[in-house]
Amino acid sequence: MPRNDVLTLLVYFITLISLSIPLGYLISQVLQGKPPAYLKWLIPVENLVLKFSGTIDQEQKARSYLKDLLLFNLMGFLFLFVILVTQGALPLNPQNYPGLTWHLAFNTAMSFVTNTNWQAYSGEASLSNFSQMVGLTTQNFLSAATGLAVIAVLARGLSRKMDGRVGNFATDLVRSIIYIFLPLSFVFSLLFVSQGVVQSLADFKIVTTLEGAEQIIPTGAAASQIAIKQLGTNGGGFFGVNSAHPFENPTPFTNFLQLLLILLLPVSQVFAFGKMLNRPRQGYAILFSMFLLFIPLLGLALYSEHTGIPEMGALLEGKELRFGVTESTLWGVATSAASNGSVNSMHSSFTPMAGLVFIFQMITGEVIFGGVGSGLYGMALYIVITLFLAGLMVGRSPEWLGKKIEAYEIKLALYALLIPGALILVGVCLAAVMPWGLSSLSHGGPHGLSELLYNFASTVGNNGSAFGGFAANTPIINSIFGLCMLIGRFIVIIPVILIAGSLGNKKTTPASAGTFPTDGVIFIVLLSGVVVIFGALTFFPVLALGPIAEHLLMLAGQTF
Amino acid sequence: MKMLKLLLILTFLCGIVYPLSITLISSVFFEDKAQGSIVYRNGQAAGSRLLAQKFETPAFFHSRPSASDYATLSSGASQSSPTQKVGMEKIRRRKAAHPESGVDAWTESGSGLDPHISPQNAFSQAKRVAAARGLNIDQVKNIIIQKTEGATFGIWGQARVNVLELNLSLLDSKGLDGFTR
Repeated sequence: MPRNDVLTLLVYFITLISLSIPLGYLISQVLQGKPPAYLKWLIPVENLVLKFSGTIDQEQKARSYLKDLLLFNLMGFLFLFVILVTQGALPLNPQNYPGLTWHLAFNTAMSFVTNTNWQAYSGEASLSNFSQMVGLTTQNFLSAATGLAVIAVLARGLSRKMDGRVGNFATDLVRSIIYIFLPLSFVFSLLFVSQGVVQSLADFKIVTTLEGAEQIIPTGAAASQIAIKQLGTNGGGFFGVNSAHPFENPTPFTNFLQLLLILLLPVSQVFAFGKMLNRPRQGYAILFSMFLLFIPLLGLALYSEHTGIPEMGALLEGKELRFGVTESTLWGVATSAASNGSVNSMHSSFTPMAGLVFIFQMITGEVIFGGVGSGLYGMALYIVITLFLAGLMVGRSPEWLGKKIEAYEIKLALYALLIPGALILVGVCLAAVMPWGLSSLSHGGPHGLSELLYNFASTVGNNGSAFGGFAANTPIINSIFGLCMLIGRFIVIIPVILIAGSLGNKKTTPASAGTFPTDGVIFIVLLSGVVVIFGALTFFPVLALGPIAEHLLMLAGQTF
Repeated sequence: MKMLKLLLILTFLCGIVYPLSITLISSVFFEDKAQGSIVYRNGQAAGSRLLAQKFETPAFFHSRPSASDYATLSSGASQSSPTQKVGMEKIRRRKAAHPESGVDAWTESGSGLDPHISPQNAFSQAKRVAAARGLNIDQVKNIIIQKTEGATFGIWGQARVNVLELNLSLLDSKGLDGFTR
C-alpha cells in the first residue's frame, strides 16, 4: 500500500472520531429537548411543524409510540408509492419520464421508507426531479430520523425507573430533522456543489463531443439528495451507478467528505447514547467493540484488494481512477458496515475476500457502527444476548445498567436476530433453485451464489448496495426484495421498542460486587465475540460455498 | 390524521424547501458547477470536464474502457468478478494489446464515465497521438505533464490526467509546421 494511502486512512479515522464527539453531544441534547444556544433560532420552526401537525409533546407508552411510528412509516410508503406511479402527470419532469411499474414502485417505496435505498431503477433514466426531491429526498430524512428516534426510546427505557413512558414520537422525529439532519445536509450539499456535484432543475443539455458525437449531460437536484443520502446512512444514489458517477462524487475531496458522512452519525450516536444514559463509558465500550471488529475486517479487505489476482495484481475493474484501490475499499467496508449502501465502485468486481467482508458485515445485522439508529439498536440486541450468555456462565440473572433482563427481553431479542438470518438463508436457497432467481444471475460458479447471498443480505439488512450484475427489476424479485426490506426493518424496530418499554417499567437495582460491568474489557471482547460467533455459526456454510470457494478457484486461475 | 399532517409538513420542508433553496444558492454561487461543469470550445458546448467521452481516432487520447460504451443515460459498469470468464478475457486481451498502458487501461471503470486516465496510460499513448497530429513527441509529453493532477493535499486521490482537457490542449498546440490542427 502506498504511503499516501496510509495517510488517507489515518486522516479519515482521526477526523471521524474528532467530529463524532461534539456531534454525539449535540444529538443527546437535541433528543432530550434541549437544543444548544447556537441552534435556538430554529425553535420557531420546530414549534410551527409540531403545531401544524397537532402534536402535543406528551410522553407515550412504548406501544403508543410504536403505533405512531408504524402509522407514520405506512403513510410515508403510500405517499411515495403514489408519487412514483403517477410521476408522468406530476410537475418537474423535463425528460417526460412515465410512472414506474407497480412492482418497481413498490420495491422503491419500500426501499426508501426502510432506509435501505436498494435501487432496482437507474435514477437519471427513469425518475423525474419531483420524484427524486419530494419523494426520495424526503424519505431519506424521515427514515433516518425514525432510526434515531428508536435510539432515544432505548436510552429512555434503560435510564428511567418504574416508568413505562418512552417519549413522544412526533417530537423526537421533528427535532432530529430540524436540529441535526437539515442543518448538516445544508452545509454538505453546498460543499458538494462547490466541487462539481450537479444541482439543477433544467433540461438535460446536449453537447457535441470533440469527435463529433452527441452526448447528453444528465443533471438534476443531486447535491441536496446526496448530502442526506450519506448523512442518514440511506445510500440511494441520484444516478444509477451511485457515488461512482462523476456528477455524484466528482473529486477525491468529495469522496473523503462522503466517506466521513457514511460513518459520522453511526459513530456519533454511540457517544450520544452514553451521554443520554449518563454513562459515557457504556458508549465507549460499545464503540471499542465495533472498532475491534471493524479494523481486522478492513485490513482483510485492503490486503485482498491490494494483492489482487495472481496474474496481474490489483485490478481497477469497476473502480474509478480518481479514488484508486484504497479509497474504494475503505468505502466498501464502511458502507457495508454502516447499512449505508452507497458505492463508489462496483462491489461485484472486488476480489472474493473483500466481497466476503462486505457480506459478513451485512449478515451480522450491520451492527459494526451500523445505520443511523439501526446500528446501535441492533447492537443493543447483541448486548442483551451477550449478557444472557454471561449470566448463564456464572449462574446469575443478567442485568443491563441495573435493569433485569428476563425471558421476555431475551425472546424478543432472539426474534430480531434470528428471523432476518433465516430470511436471508431461505431466500438464497429458493432463488438458487427457482427459475426467477437463476434467470437473473449474471455470473456462473460460486460468484453466482455470492450474488444471491449479497443481494438478500443487502435487502434484509436494509443496506441497499448490490452485486449489481443481478437483474433485479422483475415483478417477482421486486416484490420479494420489497418484502425482505419491510420485514428486515420492522422485525428489529418492533422488538427494540417493546424491550425498551419493558425495561423502563422495571426498577433499577444498584450495582453490587456480583454485577457484570458492561463497560470493561471482558464485556468488550465478549460482545465482539458474540457478533462473530453468531455470524459464523449461521452463515459459515454458505460463505464457504460462495466467496471462500471463489477465492480458492481464483487462486487456481479458474473462470466460469 | 396527526401522522398524515406530520408527513405533509415534513415533506414540504425536506422535499421542497430544502432542495429548492440549495438549487437557488447553487445557481448564484456555483452556477457553472451546478449545471455539470460544461466545457466550451469556440463558443460551443463540447462536453463536461467530469464525464468521459468516447475517443476512437488515433489523434486523441483514449478514455478508460466503458462497459456502457460511454452512454450517459444510463451509464454502467461490467460488474464482472475476477472469476468471470468473459470479463477476464477482455482484460487479458487489452493487456496483451497494450502491455505498457497500465491497469487502468485494461479494466472498465465503475461509472462507465471515468474522466481520467493514469499518467502512465497517457504516456503510453503519446507516440500514437504525436504521429497522428504531426506533433513533436516531447511536446505531447509536456502537455501530459502539465495536465497531470496529483493527490489532493497529498492525501486523497491518485495521480491522474483528465482526458477531455488533455485532448482540448492538443487541439490548441501548434504542430511542427506551425499550424494547429
